[in-house]
Amino acid sequence: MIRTPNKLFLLAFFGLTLLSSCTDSGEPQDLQAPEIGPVAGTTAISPSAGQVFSPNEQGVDVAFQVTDPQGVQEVLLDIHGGFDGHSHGRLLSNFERLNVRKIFSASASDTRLRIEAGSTSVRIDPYAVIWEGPEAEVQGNVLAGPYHITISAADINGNQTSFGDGSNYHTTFYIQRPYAPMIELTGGATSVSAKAGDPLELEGFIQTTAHPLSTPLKFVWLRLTNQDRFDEQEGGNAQVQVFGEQMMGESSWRNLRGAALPSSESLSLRNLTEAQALTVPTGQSQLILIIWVEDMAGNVTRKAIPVRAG
Amino acid sequence: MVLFWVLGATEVWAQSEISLRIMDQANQPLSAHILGYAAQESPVWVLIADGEGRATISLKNSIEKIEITHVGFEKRSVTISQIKQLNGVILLVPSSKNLEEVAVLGKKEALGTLSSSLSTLKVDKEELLSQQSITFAGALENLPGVQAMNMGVGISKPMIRGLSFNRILIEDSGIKQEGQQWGADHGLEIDPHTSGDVEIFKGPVSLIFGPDALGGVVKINPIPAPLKERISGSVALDAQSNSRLIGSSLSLQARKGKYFGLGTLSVMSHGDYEVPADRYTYAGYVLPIVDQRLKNTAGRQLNFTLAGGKLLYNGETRLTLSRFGQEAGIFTGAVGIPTTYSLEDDGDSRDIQFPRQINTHWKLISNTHWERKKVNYTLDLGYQANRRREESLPHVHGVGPTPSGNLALGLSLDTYTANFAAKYPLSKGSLQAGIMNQFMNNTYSGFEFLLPAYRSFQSGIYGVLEWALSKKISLNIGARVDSQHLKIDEHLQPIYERLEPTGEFDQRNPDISRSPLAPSISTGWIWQVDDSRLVKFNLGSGIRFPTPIELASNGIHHGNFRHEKGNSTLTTERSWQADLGMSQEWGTFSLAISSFVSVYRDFIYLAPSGRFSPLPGSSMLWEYRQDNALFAGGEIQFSYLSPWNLRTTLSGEYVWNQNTENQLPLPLTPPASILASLDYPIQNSSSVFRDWSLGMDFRKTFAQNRVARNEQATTGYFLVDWRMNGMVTIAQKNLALTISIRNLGNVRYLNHLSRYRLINIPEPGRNVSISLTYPLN
Repeated sequence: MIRTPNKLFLLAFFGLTLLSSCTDSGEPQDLQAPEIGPVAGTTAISPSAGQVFSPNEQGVDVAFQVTDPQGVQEVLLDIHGGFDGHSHGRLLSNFERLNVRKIFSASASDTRLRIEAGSTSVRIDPYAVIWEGPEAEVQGNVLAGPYHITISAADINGNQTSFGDGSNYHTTFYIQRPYAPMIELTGGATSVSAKAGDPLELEGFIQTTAHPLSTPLKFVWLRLTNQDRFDEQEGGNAQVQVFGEQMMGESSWRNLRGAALPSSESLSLRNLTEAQALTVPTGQSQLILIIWVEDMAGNVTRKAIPVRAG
Repeated sequence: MVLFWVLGATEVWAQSEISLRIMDQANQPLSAHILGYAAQESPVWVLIADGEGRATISLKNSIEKIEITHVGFEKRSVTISQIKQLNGVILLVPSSKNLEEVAVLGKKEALGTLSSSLSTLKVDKEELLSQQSITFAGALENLPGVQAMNMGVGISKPMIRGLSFNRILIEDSGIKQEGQQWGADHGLEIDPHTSGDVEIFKGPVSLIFGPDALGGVVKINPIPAPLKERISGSVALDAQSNSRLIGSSLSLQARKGKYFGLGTLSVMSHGDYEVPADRYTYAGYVLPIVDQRLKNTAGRQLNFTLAGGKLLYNGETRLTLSRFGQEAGIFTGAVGIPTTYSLEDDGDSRDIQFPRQINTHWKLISNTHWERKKVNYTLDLGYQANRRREESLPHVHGVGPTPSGNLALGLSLDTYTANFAAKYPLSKGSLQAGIMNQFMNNTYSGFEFLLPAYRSFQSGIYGVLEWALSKKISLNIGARVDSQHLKIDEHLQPIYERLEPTGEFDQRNPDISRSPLAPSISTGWIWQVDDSRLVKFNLGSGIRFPTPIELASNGIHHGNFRHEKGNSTLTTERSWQADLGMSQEWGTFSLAISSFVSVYRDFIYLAPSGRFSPLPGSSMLWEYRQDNALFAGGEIQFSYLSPWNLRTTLSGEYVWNQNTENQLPLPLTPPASILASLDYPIQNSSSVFRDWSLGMDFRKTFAQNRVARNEQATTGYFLVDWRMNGMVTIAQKNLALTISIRNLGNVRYLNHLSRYRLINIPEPGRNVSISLTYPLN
């Protein structure tokens, strides 16, 4: 005798459901990506966020540590230009952007990139990235300006750090060169004082240098903000405010332009801020003036100057 | 093909037998049971009409009358003389015990028709268009067990019970749709405006449809030939608020005697779409979404279909030319590491900048079916030209100016298909046999490399026996053998150093040649217990040959943000799936439950290698591997028609899967969800407004925490949609008007199946859609 379809079906359905409920049995799976952090005993990965390398420095000592309980398989170090938000629209003949892509692994042919297979803690301290001299990563002269560094890591199970959850190390540092534009406050000051509600007064200059590779100024961009996001990333963040901004000339890297530059050799910061005032807002104890200057060759010099508002 | 079409126009004559077409009152074919009676009380034979409602009955054995039965419809007895008076077309009316009860089950009934022992769904064109989705797959995603994988609003592909890509076969007018369906960022190149009714098979149907149908089939039927001799048509206008879409479609059909013609033209343009967010977090940065619009997500389409044919005495022949053309931008922030600067408004929300994709899909299809000596024959011939262009700036990818200009990846796929089937009626069923052949030729261009050139010839032969054990129970059993001959060409990629070619080459893949052969079998059981109860069981095995992308790709797939590498040692993938379903009605209540368990042997998937790619602009190297896998889940649907005509439908779906070798879930598994729908027909009508109905959908999608390695979990969300449709009479013309609001609450949510989920971009916000259709008669 055939059983009623209801009972038959329900029996089978719940049988299938029970079968499908036998989930997640077995040993716990390792789905955790490695952690990238500073070398033990230090407080930050090198280069750190927004770190500036002065004109006489010839490289950066990259230093960090990767840990994973199951073992680190490989580490990827990537450095590339951050001039124009990755549109990379122009290629300049006399200067070359720093492009570094190194994979640290147990089988690397370069001994400097070799790490112990499956180690639970990999310490890279330091790995020198050179931009001047016989061991330079560039063949010509490195283009001065902002660079992005990204460090990614994978463990022996294939778990990888990512951008999606912010577990990659990713930040911007700045390379200054003697042929790039120079920004100086009078007397070597590193910060300025200002009165809330008044126009910001600056003493100093922006100018080309005496280096044979120096080229004329092309673009100047001043911004008064409450946070330095290192990569001109103010937009979309409610905590970041821009209180005043001015531009002169035309950028080679971004779709930005302003009035013509009064001079392509030397500019007085006093004259610039008098011509178009940047008013110091009230109620802001922490302000930063960011000055971005480009020359005709595309070199960028950027300076972030703390402003003490009284 | 043209020669055959001319030859096929010859009428096919048969004697001592009668062809039947079983339809409902809306002219929808019914796969009904047909019982032949002589003088005795018991039937002499039992037949099942095919999916198009067709069957041929023999007049031998002194047959006096036939009886036609179908779940949800009144049983009908017709004498032989009456059949002749009706020209063989027999209409069934919904069950008289409660007409509205049938409407409760409707076409979304979770188990579908009697023509398949699998759980099937049927969606007519009207219902498809009423979803007001830009994409074909998007119009199906409210069906139980069906999901849509999308990239923005204009690119989408269907997923059935957690399977997609090459595991879902799309058949358009008898021909398997072939494009570059392996890519998550590649949409299904079919326009809902130019397609006919749709049938969905949830499970392996490799026997009839061929390899790749091991996860399911979306079968798109051609628009039926006009029933009356006249010229008719319609013009439709569509508008949507979110992406500021404007679109229009023109549909015309004409019949003169035995000849008919059909044509549809559809144009559409939309701008960047809105999301309910002004920022998102990625790579540790808070990035802006200026004006809450995703930059460079605009798109355009121009699609058309032209068909001409002739009605034969016992069949039909037609030739169809169609074109799908799409240009779609890719969100600027989805390529590389986005920055505030790159996401700034470019001042034009309708322009399509780099990166972008341009897809064109041409199809020339000949369909002929006829009947001779009780045997139904079907011959489908097709040619498809699929052209895909992915355009990007070369220096973004580490190469200098190239002869290809901004063409990063050009894929050109030509597919030739020839399918033939014959269905022989038996005393209590039928025997169907067929042969399918397909030749594909793929070439590529552009400064990037992902998929090599290849040529593939695939052939399959099958037989399926359908047998009615009684008036209530029928069985089917079948077998199939498929073979493939595949030749993949070696690819040498130029090496660049500092944006300049070095003159050296990197071998991305060697020459590969393969000739696999694989059988499939399937059996099913349909038990129509009574007018209100139906039980289905199906046990099927499907196979899938590894695709060239799985065997030989080696390059950066920007659609997935990663370097993907093929594996030339992959073997044929096989699935075994058991399906069990039941539907039952109690008065104005109905319940349908469908469950499945699938075991996959050598399931092919992309897995992180644990090694980083040496290619610039990429991260980890992902490799194709194969392991055994297990899938299980099902759908449940409950409907109730209240005394005041409020129809309530509650459906739920769940898919569980696991790689049985590493005990991890598989990627892109749809989260469990529940959909509650309310539909209310407005009783009061006037001379201007009539047939109005209101509806609301409430969808709860649960969190998906069962994720594969390196896949992010996605939180759940709750969405409310509203809709209203009806007729407006102006100047004695009936205009069909549909208004809907999707995501009424403007909820910010992430879709686990969206390609933009990878970069934490939310789905579209509130979207008001209006469609107006004006008849041309």
